Amino acid sequence: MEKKKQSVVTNSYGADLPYATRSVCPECKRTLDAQVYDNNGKVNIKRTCPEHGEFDEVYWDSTSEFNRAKGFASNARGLLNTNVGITENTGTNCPYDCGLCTNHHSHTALANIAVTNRCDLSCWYCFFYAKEGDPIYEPTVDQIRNMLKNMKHQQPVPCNAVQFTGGEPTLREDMIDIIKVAREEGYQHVQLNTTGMTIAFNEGYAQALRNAGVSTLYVSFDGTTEKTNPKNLYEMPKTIEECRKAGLGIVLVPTLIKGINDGDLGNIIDFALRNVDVIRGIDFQPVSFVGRMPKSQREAQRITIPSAIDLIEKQTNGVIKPKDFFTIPCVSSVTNFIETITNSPQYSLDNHFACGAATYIFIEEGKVVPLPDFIDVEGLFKFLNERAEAIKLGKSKTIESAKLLLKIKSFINEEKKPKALNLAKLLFNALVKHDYSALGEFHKSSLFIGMMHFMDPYNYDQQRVERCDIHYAMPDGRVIPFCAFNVVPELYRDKVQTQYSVSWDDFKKNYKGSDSPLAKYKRDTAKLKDDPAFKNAYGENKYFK
Amino acid sequence: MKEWFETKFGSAPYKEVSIVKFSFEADSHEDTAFKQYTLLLDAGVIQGHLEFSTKKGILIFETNANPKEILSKELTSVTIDSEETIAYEKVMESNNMFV
Repeated sequence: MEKKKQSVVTNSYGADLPYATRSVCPECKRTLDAQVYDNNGKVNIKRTCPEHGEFDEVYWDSTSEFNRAKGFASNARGLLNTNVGITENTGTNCPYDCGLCTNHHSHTALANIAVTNRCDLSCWYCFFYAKEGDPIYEPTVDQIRNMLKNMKHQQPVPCNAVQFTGGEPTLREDMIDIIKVAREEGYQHVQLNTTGMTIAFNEGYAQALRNAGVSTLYVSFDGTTEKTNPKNLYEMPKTIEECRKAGLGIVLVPTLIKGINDGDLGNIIDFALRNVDVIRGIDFQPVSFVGRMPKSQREAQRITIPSAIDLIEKQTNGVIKPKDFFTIPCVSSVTNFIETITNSPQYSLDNHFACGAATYIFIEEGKVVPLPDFIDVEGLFKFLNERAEAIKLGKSKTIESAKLLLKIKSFINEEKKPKALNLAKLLFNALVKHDYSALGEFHKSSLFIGMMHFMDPYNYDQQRVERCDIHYAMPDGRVIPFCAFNVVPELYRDKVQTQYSVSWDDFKKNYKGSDSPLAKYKRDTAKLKDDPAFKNAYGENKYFK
Repeated sequence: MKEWFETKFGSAPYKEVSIVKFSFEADSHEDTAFKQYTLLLDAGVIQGHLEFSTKKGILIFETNANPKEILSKELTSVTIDSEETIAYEKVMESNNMFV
């Protein structure tokens, strides 16, 4: 079923270090042969540009953690109907051939649709917002509907999750209509990427979002102090209050920068736990650098996944440990088992093992318990793989499912697990009966802690982009892997958004809002500090004293 | 005021575009990819691909662009094999997965 892959880097996926891949020159963007190798306990990626010389960048801060993650590398199915276009892009000139091309390995797990380039903030590390006089990119509702339809037609597994992003999406007056369109097009998960300001200061807006069909808000939140979070420290408690009233879940998204907020990870987790009725998860994103940056500055600010996890261990007093985190494609053993039982292709998360990692934590009798403390995760995944292989070799599905039923309790430590969770039943229902109703309860009683390290031109690895499953839909019909979209914005993000934008003057003429279309948020710090929501929000660490 | 054209994929910024097929010479796969990159940077080029194995390329240009001039700026030896004007909607149709 799989389309033929021609990529030069495919065969080295999952190979031992050192392995060959391809990258780009951060200066001129020429594609180059590259090597990922062990550099005294760290993993680096290096390549040499004929014009700009050698670039040797940290890729992962720990070789041993990299090798552990590599153990979960999974084979992805890819798409049957890749959209190579009239220009017959074959992927041989990756990342300039998107897409998605026939070389791409993953279907779209999360579709991103940028709905505006306007933002009411001007964060120093973000370059993606329009300034006075710039063209404004705001695809029409019809264009957005077509992007959604396009991703929904992926074969054999249609896209089912979309994130609306920007700029700041809530600046659009028709955002509620756009969310309804996503639901009409059959998307089960609709996520909104926002700073939360509009929600904080417009009573009822969170409820309107929820009613329209938003599943989760994805809210940037960089820390719990004025220094670490100049963006929305004061406003976040109000955003949470509004979401609490509306029953709308939040995932916090801290961008991690060494020397800025790397001392605040434990506090961010503590803050999330104290609001766990609203906050469903945290997705830490180690910074990816935009534009040119000297090596000394990159070294001063770069954090990679293993060092972020080490910081979490230190700042949670060892409660959350590196071994609690698993790379994202580890869940492919679950997908693989369900596919074998159902004989039908399933939604899978087969991205590159170096892209991200995650765990779940629970609160039990006032204490934090990571999920691997009471589930033998590796043992369960290994057992599922064995059952799937047995079925593929002709064994009875009924007998193999019965083996799972008999064995499942042995992977669970009943003494350590949260008492309210009937895990054996939940797992069996999900894996064998495909009844996912109890998973909602699982998510509500737990906190997801994830890491996603998007690439920049300095640590760019083609092997990763070929397996990317977070994609941008563009109004011209192409679908672009997240890191290609942002590592070569001049070919995708900026180029297409320029083609599909309107001039500043034209936008202003048709703009119906009361403020300027580019009005910036003005903070009233004294008033916010006086707000009871803020007074109770931060303060002493509760779970990791 | 920018003109928009209705298509079955929503409104589009072009009614027609030029599709140009050409042959070129290149020293290596890497060189070809870089030439594709630099060609795509040109505002007059909408999308395209250069294939090293066949030394053939296809680029889609805005109708007011000068393909010959743009191509000769980046490629030392290039022969235009065909040039035709097509509806931009056809490009969108080929990009989309649901047709």
